[in-house]
Formats: sequence, C-alpha cells, structure tokens
Amino acid sequence: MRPNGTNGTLLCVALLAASAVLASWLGRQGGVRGNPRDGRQADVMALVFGEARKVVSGGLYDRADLYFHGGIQAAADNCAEQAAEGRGGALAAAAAGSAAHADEDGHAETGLVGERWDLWSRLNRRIHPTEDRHASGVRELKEVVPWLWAAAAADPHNTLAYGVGAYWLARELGRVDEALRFIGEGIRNNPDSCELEFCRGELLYLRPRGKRDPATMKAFSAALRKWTPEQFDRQEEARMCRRNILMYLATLHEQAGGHEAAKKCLRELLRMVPDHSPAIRMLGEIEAAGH
Amino acid sequence: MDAVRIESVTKLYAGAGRPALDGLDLAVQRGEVFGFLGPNGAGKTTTIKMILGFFAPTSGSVRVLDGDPQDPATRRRIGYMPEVANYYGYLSACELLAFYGRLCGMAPEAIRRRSGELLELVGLQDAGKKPLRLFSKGMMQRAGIAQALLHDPELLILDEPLTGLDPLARIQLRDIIVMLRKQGRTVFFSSHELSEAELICDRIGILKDGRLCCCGGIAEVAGDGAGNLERIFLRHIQEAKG
Amino acid sequence: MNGMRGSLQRIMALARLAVVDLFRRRDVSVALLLAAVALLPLLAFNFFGVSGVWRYVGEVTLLLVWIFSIAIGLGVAARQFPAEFDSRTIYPLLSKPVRRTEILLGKFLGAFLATASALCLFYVCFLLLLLLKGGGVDPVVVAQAFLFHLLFVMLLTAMAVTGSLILTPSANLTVCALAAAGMLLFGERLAGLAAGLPLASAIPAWAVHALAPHMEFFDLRLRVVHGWPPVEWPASLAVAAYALCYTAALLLLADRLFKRKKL
Ligand SMILES: Nc1ncnc2c1ncn2[C@@H]1O[C@H](COP(=O)(O)OP(=O)(O)O)[C@@H](O)[C@H]1O
Ligand SMILES: [Mg+2]
Repeated sequence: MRPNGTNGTLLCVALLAASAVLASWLGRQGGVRGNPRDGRQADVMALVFGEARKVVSGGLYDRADLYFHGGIQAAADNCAEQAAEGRGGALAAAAAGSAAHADEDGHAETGLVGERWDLWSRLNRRIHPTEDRHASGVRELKEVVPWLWAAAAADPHNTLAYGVGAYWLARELGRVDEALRFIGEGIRNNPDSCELEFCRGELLYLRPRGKRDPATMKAFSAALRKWTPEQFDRQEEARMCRRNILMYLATLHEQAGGHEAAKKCLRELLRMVPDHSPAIRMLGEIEAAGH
Repeated sequence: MDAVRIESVTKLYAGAGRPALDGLDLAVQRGEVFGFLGPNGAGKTTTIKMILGFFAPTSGSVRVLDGDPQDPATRRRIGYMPEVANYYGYLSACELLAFYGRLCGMAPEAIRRRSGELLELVGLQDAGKKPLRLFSKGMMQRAGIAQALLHDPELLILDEPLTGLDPLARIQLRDIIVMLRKQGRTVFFSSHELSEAELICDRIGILKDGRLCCCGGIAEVAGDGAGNLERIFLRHIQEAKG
Repeated sequence: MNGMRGSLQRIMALARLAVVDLFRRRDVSVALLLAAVALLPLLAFNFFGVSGVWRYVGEVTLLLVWIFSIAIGLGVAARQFPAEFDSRTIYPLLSKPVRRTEILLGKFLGAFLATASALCLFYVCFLLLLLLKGGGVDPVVVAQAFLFHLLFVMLLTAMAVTGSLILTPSANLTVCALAAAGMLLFGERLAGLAAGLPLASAIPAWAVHALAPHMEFFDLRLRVVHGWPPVEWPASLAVAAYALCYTAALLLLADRLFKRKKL
C-alpha cells in the first residue's frame, strides 16, 4: 500500500514535469529568439548544451516580456508583428524607446461554433485577464529584472538579455552602476558584440558628465570596430546601429574638440544616409565654425 | 425463526463455467453455532458474501434475521470477520474500532467502553495504540474478531476464523464462541478444520461444489466418537465426487 | 432527520480516514520540504540590489503549489478504492451498516478534504513567503484564487475517484494527470485550435472543448502574481456552478460503477 502511493505520487510529478516541458516547448513555436549567430561552438557537446541553454534562456527572456505585459502573452504572437518590433519582441521595442507598439486584441476567432455559443471561451475571457497592459512605475518594472538576469545566466551569449536588462536597470530603475556592471559582464562573455558595446556607450553617455568621460568615446569606438553586418538579424538593423554609433561618435568628438574626427564620422554617416538632417546640420555647423 | 435462510440459491460468477453455488438450501436457527464446512473452492465464502449482501444471488432468495441482507439495517445486526484479515495499517487498533463504531452509529462513549472490553477479550489490551501495520497475522486476526463483535451483533459470521491463529488464540476464540452461545447469539462460521468444528458446533453443513451434501446436528452427522467427523467429511466429499 | 444525520456521520467517518492516512504518510511534509529546497535559493537571490522584487517568487511558489496539489490530490483520490480492494478492507467495510453511496461520498470527501487541508497549508506558506519578500498582493484576489483552487481540487479528486473504479491505478493516474495538466496548459486555446482545424479533425477537438473538464477556469495565478483585479461575481459563480455540476456528474457515474463493482 505504502510504496504504491508513493510511486503514484512520483509518477504524477514526473508526468506533470514532462508535460510542462512539452508544453513550454510547444508553446514557444517561435523558437529561440536568443542570439542567432554563434559560430564558435565547435564541438558537439557544446553544440548540444548550447542549444538547450539557448532554449532555456529564450524561455526566460520571453518570461520577462510576459511580465512587462502583466503576465499576458502580448498580441504579438505572430511572426509578422514580431518582425515589425524587431528582435526580442515588445520588450526590446520598448527598450529601444519605440513607444509605438501595435496592439491588437488577441481574440481568436472561433469559426465553426461562434463566440456567442462558446460558453467556455467566454467564461475563460472573464476569468483570465486579456486586456493589454504595460508595466509602469518602478514597482512593476523591477519585476522584469530577475528574468532578464536569469536569461543571461542561462545563456551568457544571449546578448539581448544583457542589453535589455541593462536598459531596464539604468533607465527605469535608476541603477546605472549596476547596469554598467551587467553590460560589462555581457561584453566579457561576448567580446565581439557590437550591440553590447553600443549599449554600454549609451549608458555611459547618459550619466552626468558622461559626455566628457573618455570611457564613453572608447565604448562607441569599440562598438564601431566590432560592427559587422553578420551580427544582426536584418540588414536594416545593422545599418541603423552603425548610423547611431556614428552620430554619437561625431557628437563626442566634436565636444572634445576633435573636429576632423567628427567630420569623418558625419561624412560616413551621410554616405550611408544622404538626407540625415541632424548630420547635415551638425556638419554645417562645424564647417561654419571654420574647422 | 431462522437467523439465516437460504433457499435454492444459485450463484454464477460472470465468466465462470459452472456455478459457485448450485441450488443451495440452508437454514441456520437462532442461538445455534453453525459450522459451515467444505473443501477449498466449495463456495463457503460466496455464501457468506451473499448473506452479507455484497451481491445478490443469481437466483433464489437469501433472508437474514428476517431482513434483506442488502438493507443496512439488517447488517447493523451482523458481525463479520473476513477470510483474509487486513485492516487499515495506518490506524491503531483503538482507532480502527472507533472508525467501525462510528459506521455502526455507536456513541463515542459506547465505542470507548466496548473497545476496551473487546481488546481485553481478544488479548490486544497492550497493543491498542500500536499501528496495525506492525501487527502479526495472528494479532490482525484478533483485531478482526474484536471489530466483528464491536456493535454487539445478533449474528456473527466468521469466514475461516481459525486459520493463522496459534493454539492459545484458538482456545480463546472457542471460549468466545461458547460465551456468545450462552448469550443467545447465533454464530455462523466456515472452516475446513473439522476437529475444531466438532468441538464447538451445534450443527454443521458440508458443502461441496456449491451443493450442500450433508446438514444436521453434530451428533447425527458424526456420532459421538471424537475424530469421526473427519471420516464422515471424507466420505461425503468422495461420494459427491463419484 | 435521524437518517440524514447518521448518513452524514458515516460519510464523515470515512472521510476522516483519508485525511488521517494522508497526514500519516508524510506526503505533505515531503512536498513542503521539496518546495523549501526549490524556493530557498530563489529567495536568497538579490538582483542588482533592487529590493522588493517578489513576483518571480510568487509565480514559482504558486506553480509548485499547483503541482503539489495535483500530485497529492491525484495520489490520495486515486488510491482510495484500489487500497480498499487490494487490502480487502472493503469486505469488513461493506459488512457494516453503510450504503455504497455513503462509502463513495465518504471516499470522495476524504480525498477532497485531505487535499484541501494540504492546500491550506501550502497557501499559508505562500502568504508567509510573500510577507518575507515584501510582495503586495490583493487579499481578495488571493482568497479567490484559493477558493478556485479548492474547486479545482474537488473536480480533480472526483475525477480520480471515478477513474479508479474503471481503470487500473496507473492508467487512472496517467489519464487524470494528463487531463489536468493538459487542460491547465491548453484548455484556453482549445477553441482557437478547433477553429483552425479542417472539419474532420475539428469535430473531435470541439467535442473535447465542450466536454473535457476545463481545469484552466480555476487557475487564477496570473491575477495573483500580476496584480490583476479579482474575477467578477457572475463569472465566479459560473465557475463554481461548473465545478459543482461536473463533480456531481462524475460522482453519479462513480456511484453507478461502484454499485456494479464485482466483489
Ligand atoms: N469473484 C469471483 N469470480 C469468479 N469466480 C469466483 C469468484 N470468487 C470465487 N469464485 C469461484 O467460486 C468458487 C467458490 O469459491 P469460494 O466461495 O471462495 O470457495 P471457498 O470459500 O469455499 O473456498 C470457486 O470455484 C472459485 O473459483
Ligand atoms: Mg473461502
């Protein structure tokens, strides 16, 4: 009798665990949103464990995204919308400062039977919150942080987790030093990442007197050096990143009195985007000042 | 008035080729000790289960204490000790009796008093607080006797009560049965232990392949020589075979 | 009426047995110990010195509470009848003046009460943990989540008790665990899934959607963890009615099955 009961309980727990794993596996059809480039894992073991870590890390990152939306899967379940938001979904979009976040109600149309007669679905909608909600205020926003930390801990090559995590820490929670430490860890783990270096540069730039800190310039220069188009999912993203780096560098050089360096950056920027008005304006100002 | 009246009862288990009981007629009078004898597989347990209303006969009728065995009110007056004694291992003997007492609708005070008496009677007074899973087979059997007697039943049904008991316990059980007879209770027990049956029964019935091949007072069936019953039993069994 | 009172007394006596059994087995203490082992490291974390971060603890704790409630509920409910039959204690039990229906109700109630008492313990631990972490939950939502969870346990134990009268113990456990976990995870998406299928496979999907126990109704973890308001009254009542009707239907079926059970 006794061993039977215990076996039963164990069996249950095992079954539940198995189904939970299966579910999360199925539930995340999107696959791994972590870091797509990772050519360095040469041997098979690293590859296998690397994959598993990426899956876990991706799941944890999604969790952060979920927390940002009050625990609800954002309507951005379909690929198109995700693409529109750029890598990393809504969270990253918010981190990047893009306030525009297309929200649709995630109501599945119920075809055959019709919502009217489908009592269970109607009941579900009343029980489980469906309204779109974004975290706001420190009290809510700080809840996102553990998941980003965990995503980075699960896969140190998940640059997105580092970048977004640092963003939350610095901008929303006001912990710039913690954010810099976190991004520093990310850079140590991903020495080739242009994005992380850029992120670090931005964090430094935003500090009081950050514009005069030589470290800021160093970070952006490193970002420019590490920039390769292959690091990015899409060509457009890569170009956008390079443009931003160039603009920051131009500003910093100009402030430090390095007019030639600033002009060089601006000219490259204008070669990429001939009608970039801030760059045109700035170049005009420098030249007008007679440098 | 009969304590148990079984009339032309047939019981066919689903999927079984031949009936376990085949036109059984049996009457047990009130106040007597009836020994229900027969080899393994004769149908003793099947008969007892029908007396207790666990299932209805395929055909025929069973009346117990002038009531329907399926009626809980009838069962309130029956005490039963099953063939295989096994009780909730996580309870102590006292808790077991308290549980059964509550099922029988006894008052807590009555349960307490009665459990004390009965544990004393079956010799478990020192093991009352011990969990039953630590009991030996014989101790479990004693607990079984105690639970069968708990609610002071008019009819006591014991299915092979002697198996697993040491000689001392057998003597104690015999004393208990004798005491019950003195109190005017009816005892119906199944057994294949003939010598024991010979000592305590008023009447016996011998069952073979679901048929009663002999039934009567112990003196009629066995004569008066000790050990005779064994010979009689063998003769009846072999006759039934041939 | 005396008959009713006697009946109730017998049912409660039977139910007490399951509760005593569960707590003497130490299943609950094992669950609490496991939970502590899982949660202690989580509690010790301090993320970047940000204080008052509690939702992740709340979420993991509630997940564990749910997993353990399913494991314990199924374990207790599914073994009620098989244990009686295996140990043959069913015979002395049936020889007492109890009706089969009373035995069934007693067994079900026992499984439910045993699991519910374990659940009380779990929720108390959950609240203590939140206190420790400085989590701000709405007490109304937590109370509602607890009541919904009780409804879930009621339905789950009814399911397992009924299943134990048809299936072998391991098959019963498998079916119930899959049904519970499957519906908790996918119940909400079933309608959407059915809508997207071609007609031939949509019909079974709709049938499952219509008939399978919608366990996800009872899961208010999201509202607790993410600070959503409580479910409104009409919907709460609908959920309670659903659980009660479903349980009643299962118990009616179980009653039939138990009365027909070969002994
Ligand atoms: N549940 C059952 N299903 C089918 N056959 C059974 C069942 N119980 C007993 N039998 C058969 O009925 C006959 C009588 O069994 P039983 O009453 O247990 O005998 P006894 O108690 O005299 O040893 C045996 O042949 C046995 O195999
Ligand atoms: Mg027998």
